[in-house]
Amino acid sequence: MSDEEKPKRDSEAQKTAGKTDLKEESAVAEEGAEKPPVKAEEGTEKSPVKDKPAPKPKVKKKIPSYEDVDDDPVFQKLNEKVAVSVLSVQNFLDQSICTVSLDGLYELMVDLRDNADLDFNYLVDMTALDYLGDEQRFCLVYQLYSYKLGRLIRIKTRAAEDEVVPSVSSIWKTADWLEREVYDLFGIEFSGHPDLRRILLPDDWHGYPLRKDYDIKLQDQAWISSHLKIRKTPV
Amino acid sequence: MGLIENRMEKNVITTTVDSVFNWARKSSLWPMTFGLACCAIEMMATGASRFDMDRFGAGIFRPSPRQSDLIIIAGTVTLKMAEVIQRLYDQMPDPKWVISMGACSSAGGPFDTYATLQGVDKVIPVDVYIPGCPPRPEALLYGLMRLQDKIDEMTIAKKAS
Repeated sequence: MSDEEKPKRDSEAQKTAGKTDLKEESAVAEEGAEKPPVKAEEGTEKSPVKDKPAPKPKVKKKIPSYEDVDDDPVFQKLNEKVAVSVLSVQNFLDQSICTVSLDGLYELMVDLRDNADLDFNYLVDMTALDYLGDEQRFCLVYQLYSYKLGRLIRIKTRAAEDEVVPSVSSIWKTADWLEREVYDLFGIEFSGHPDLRRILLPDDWHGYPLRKDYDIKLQDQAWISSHLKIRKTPV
Repeated sequence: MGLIENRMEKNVITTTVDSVFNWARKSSLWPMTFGLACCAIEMMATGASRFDMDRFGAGIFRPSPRQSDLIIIAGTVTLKMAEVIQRLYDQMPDPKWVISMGACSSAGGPFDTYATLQGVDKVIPVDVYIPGCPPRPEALLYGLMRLQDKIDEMTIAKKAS
């Protein structure tokens, strides 16, 4: 498109300066009929002076980053007892991310749901991350939504490898299966969970695949040899 | 040949028992619905009106393995499902055939991971492999026709071993 535009611009520089592409093409169509007089008039005057439309002022795009905020409206309304366990509140592209310590996690979640102003009664998702090598290896992420505020917030906590995390399934029923998935793939145990067992992999699988030290291709050979009859495939 | 030639009426045909059996079997291959993943959509499209599989006699998808003679494994086979496939294949009565449709069931497809079986032929014997991701309905029909050719080569007599 730009290659086609450039020769056109030279001949009709003034008229096309600042016009949109569609208008340019229609201008070309109009002036094509009367090209010789137009060219004689404007080509000689304008082409040495202005070849392109006026340059727009360059705005440097700000690279988005996590910024600590003190005045997030959600976290200011929290109960004071609970707010003690909040380690930091950050903002990233208008998303609220709150890091909490594991001790106060359960009380914080109860408060977020029960607080009449906040009313975070929808646990959208719950996942975990594995920072292998860190002392607190796992990072649990909860995404909560409030219909009243129309806002989505993210709560993050860190947990060490064998640490037992309080279950939020008594607060939101959906956490039942979400925590089962986290247990299945990461091996994080939840206390107070009604039925903590594997949900995606077979029940008697060994190993937690989404941990960083579990090879992507590693299959539980013991499970395979006990459940499947592998044929010798013809070459 | 001289004794029976030109002695029959016009609506009598002579053939071999093998060709009759093979013609019957290949023209009425009733598959079992076993769509696991995306290939199932293409299998449904093949069964629908544009690429009609019923004109090959194979349009009746049976829900039960006991009533089907063909199983089209259409989709990714996980290890958990492989156990089920073994059981279903064992429940199918002879003669039975297997078409492995798509890349995932033929060789694991793009998913070389901890949970995926790298090819359904590791658990059941496959007659026809159809590559593609997903294979077009015409490709599935071509695979079906190749299976029909394979059935043509069968014989009901005992082979000399």
